[in-house]
Amino acid sequence: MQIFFDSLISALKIIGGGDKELWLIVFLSLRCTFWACLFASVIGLPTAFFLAHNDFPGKRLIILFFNTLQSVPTVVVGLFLYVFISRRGIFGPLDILYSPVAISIGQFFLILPLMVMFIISALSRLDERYHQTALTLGASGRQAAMLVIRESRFAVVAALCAAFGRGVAEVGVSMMLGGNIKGYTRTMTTAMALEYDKGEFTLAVALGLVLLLVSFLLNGALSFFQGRIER
Amino acid sequence: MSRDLYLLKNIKRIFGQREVLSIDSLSVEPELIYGLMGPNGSGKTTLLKILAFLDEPNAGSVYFENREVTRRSMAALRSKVVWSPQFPVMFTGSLRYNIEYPMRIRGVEAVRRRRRSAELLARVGLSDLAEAPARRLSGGEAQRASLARALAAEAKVLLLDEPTANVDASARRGLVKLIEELWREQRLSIIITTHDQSLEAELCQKRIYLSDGRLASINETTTHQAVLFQRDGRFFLSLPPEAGPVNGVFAIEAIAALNKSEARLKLRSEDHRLINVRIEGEAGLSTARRLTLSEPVYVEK
Repeated sequence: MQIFFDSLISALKIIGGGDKELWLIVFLSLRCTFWACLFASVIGLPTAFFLAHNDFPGKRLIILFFNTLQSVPTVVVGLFLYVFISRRGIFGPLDILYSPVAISIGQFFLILPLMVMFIISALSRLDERYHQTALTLGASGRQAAMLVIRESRFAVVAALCAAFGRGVAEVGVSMMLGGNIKGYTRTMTTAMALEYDKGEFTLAVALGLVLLLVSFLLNGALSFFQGRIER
Repeated sequence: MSRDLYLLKNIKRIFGQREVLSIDSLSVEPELIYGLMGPNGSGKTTLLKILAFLDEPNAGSVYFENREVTRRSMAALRSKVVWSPQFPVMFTGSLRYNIEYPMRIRGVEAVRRRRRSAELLARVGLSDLAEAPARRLSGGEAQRASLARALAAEAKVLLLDEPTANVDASARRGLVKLIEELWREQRLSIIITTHDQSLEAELCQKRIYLSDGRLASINETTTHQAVLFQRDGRFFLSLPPEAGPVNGVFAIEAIAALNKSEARLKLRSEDHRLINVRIEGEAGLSTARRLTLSEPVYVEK
């Protein structure tokens, strides 16, 4: 137990002291996950809306596909993407392997199914009459979709938070596609794994605390947002 | 050329294996108030959604203002027709936001939106609630708000699904009056689905009756000032000459709007004509109050 408290005190000192390496890792992690979330939202929201509001042959298969992808281990996603973006892969000439871009792409594929399924669930729970009322008041298909998303915004934000949480906390994709290069692709989770391997718990605990803080802030923002909606 | 607002020909709506609507021919005239009647499951709401261009039949043709409605034209036509469900959907935000929504999506500038929404809220008697959360309105207030929002959308046709089902008696009276006034002022065409026979008696000039998804009948209703009186324990009706030749006994279909100065009755003659009768004055009312729905009314010879 002593080792835990020693590490905790040292970690708090590092966090409070503005350790450059620590904050570089934190900001890189947040940046990679931010871009992954942004692109997953851009693709995921309309996809989820389309799937929730349309019936067509093969819809259930697509939903089953997204459902399956939700539970795929991160290393499997990393492995598949590695095949595509490695030097001999189809996207090899882009030279993005072991870069923050590769981490964001990996996290995008990790987050997208989660986001689509969460949002489908949220939109399906919303009364169909919201969509119909918007249409009958003269809204275009896009305007009606925006209204439905606005009305489901708490659930949509919850999906975003869950997706961000999954992205920022994963190890497999960041390790396999980022390579854990110090000062370039070292994220919070890969750094923690490395420090643990080295037996250096101080930085690992500090990063763990920051991860907890990120999670706390996300949930706090969500609660605040929910409170505003309920008012 | 006929001036039908809607013309439906051989339409069928099928959900799964079940045919919920099958109408060979139905025409709806403009600028009238229609009552769409029928028991639960008779296809009223399905028909209303087809008329609102929110649903399309599996077979047959729908004409609106003499033009055939296609999947491509449906979106553009929706702006002329506003459907209001039994429990009107209010979007998150203030009542004013809800009234301004149809104008906002049309790109009306903020100043004009604000002015028009204030006018409409005043018109439906909800000015005081402009900044109140729209989702917390009572049933009657939500119905009024829904009417104001439809006017903000510049609708020419209102499709009201059970507008009085969720409102108390006093709110109902105000709502019926408001619908009638808006119809007169705006020259709207209104179709109301309802189980409330007195609402239909008060408001509707024509009635479409559905049964098992099929058109059972279309009836026209006329309103006359009449005198109702009691003689030898029987109720008699004295109709004006313009009511035409009416014989026999009337069945009372509905009594509505009983208050201190006015009562309305809907009567059906033996030849199935429907007549709205408005009775004014204390004497008539004291008589009318004692009427029950099962009592016949005799025409004065």
